[in-house]
Amino acid sequence: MPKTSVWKTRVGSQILMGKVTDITQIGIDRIPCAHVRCQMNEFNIYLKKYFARSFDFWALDRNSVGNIGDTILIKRIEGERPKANVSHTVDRVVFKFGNVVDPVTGRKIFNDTFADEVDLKKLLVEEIVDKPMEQDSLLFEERRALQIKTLENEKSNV
Amino acid sequence: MIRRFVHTSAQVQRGRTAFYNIHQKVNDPAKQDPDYFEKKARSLPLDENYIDALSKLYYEKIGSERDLGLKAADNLILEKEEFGLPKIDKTKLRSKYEDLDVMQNAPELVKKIFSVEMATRKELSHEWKNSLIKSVRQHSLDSNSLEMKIAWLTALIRHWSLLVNDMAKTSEKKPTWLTHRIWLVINERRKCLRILREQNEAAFETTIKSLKISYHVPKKMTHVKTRKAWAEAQLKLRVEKEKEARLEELHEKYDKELEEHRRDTELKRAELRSELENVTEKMSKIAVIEGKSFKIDGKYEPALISSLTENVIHSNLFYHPPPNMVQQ
Repeated sequence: MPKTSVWKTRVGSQILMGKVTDITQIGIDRIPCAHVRCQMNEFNIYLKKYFARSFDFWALDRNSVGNIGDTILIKRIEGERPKANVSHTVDRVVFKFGNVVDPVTGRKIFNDTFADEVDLKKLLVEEIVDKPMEQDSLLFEERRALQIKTLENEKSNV
Repeated sequence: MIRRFVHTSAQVQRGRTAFYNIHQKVNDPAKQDPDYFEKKARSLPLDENYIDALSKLYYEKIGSERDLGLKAADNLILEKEEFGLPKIDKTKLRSKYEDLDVMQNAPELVKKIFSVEMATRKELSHEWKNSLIKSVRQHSLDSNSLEMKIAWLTALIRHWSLLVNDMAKTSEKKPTWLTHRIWLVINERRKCLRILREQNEAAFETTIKSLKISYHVPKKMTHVKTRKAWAEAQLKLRVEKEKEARLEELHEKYDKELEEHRRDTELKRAELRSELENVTEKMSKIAVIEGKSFKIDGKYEPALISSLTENVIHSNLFYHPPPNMVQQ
């Protein structure tokens, strides 16, 4: 048993998932290199609980696929490293920054609502609220009546 | 023990802690760039005053942080009139009375009373908010999306900044009750912008473009925020830059010299080659005179026609060409 009360997880660092926090270039060839923050667990034997702790790795990104904020998959370099502290290479981008996608349905999400629902709402509001309001020849009450009528129509169509 | 807590002289404490005038007024719009001071540090002359100039720059940086925090995102430095608020048509009816049927055929005087021109400050601010919100909202009933919230907060910040400016004309005192609220709203907006950028980058881009907000991704803290640490970091970067520049210069010099050397050697080699050719020519002439070799004019050609006829005869007789004695 180790002397410390904190055990590292048994998960190896062969393949890791993390967020890109920084991008630089290394060497004379200026190969892009991503600084990736990966969360790994540590087990505390006294508290019998895992604690999340972040570790930073440098990962070589030859095709420069990762941007800052992207969640990417990195793999350890077997054999010779390009630099002493560059231990991984970027495998692929799992989640792009600013493009949240539901992994189950594959639909895009804007702030807890699906993108297509937002689009549908936009379309319905335009059709039911905006279009009758644009008719300047009608009085306000008449426009309201038209709105209600189109709303009823839409409801009956569903 | 007690003596430790009794200060008999204020002189003792003088200069022990750094004094920052955090209420410095910023008058240079170039300072709205978040990297302004770092860039300035990079361009300072490397002389005996360098470190002092760096610390002076640091005091300036810390001092202007507050004013920049209030104004930089909306480009309000040196702003006196507009404050980034949209221009509103004075003759237009206020949005409250816009949809009233009675106003359609009302006389001009009545229309004027209910127009933006005669609006109170509250109603005017409502118009500003509406105008900004209209430029970014998702649809006409949108009242809770992040874009709409950001537009509303932006109008609030700019309107209040205008108010602070107006108050400063009449009184010396700074309306802290209002500036503090501007701070809170700015931070709220920054939070909204951060979330919007995380959720939907395209909407974020269009929003900051149409509202003319400058948003900068907050940098990771790389060092302790002190004058010494900042100055050291700047010095390190400066030295690195200087080193790179000198190496570049040396590299260019080396390239130039190499090119020159190559050209010179090429000339020398050509000279030597021509000399060698002359000598060999002379040697061959001498050999001809001595009778050791012959001077050959022209080129040896085999008897083409005769061998051709021979070929034809042979192929008629033996169905294959004669043995060729000329080595090819």
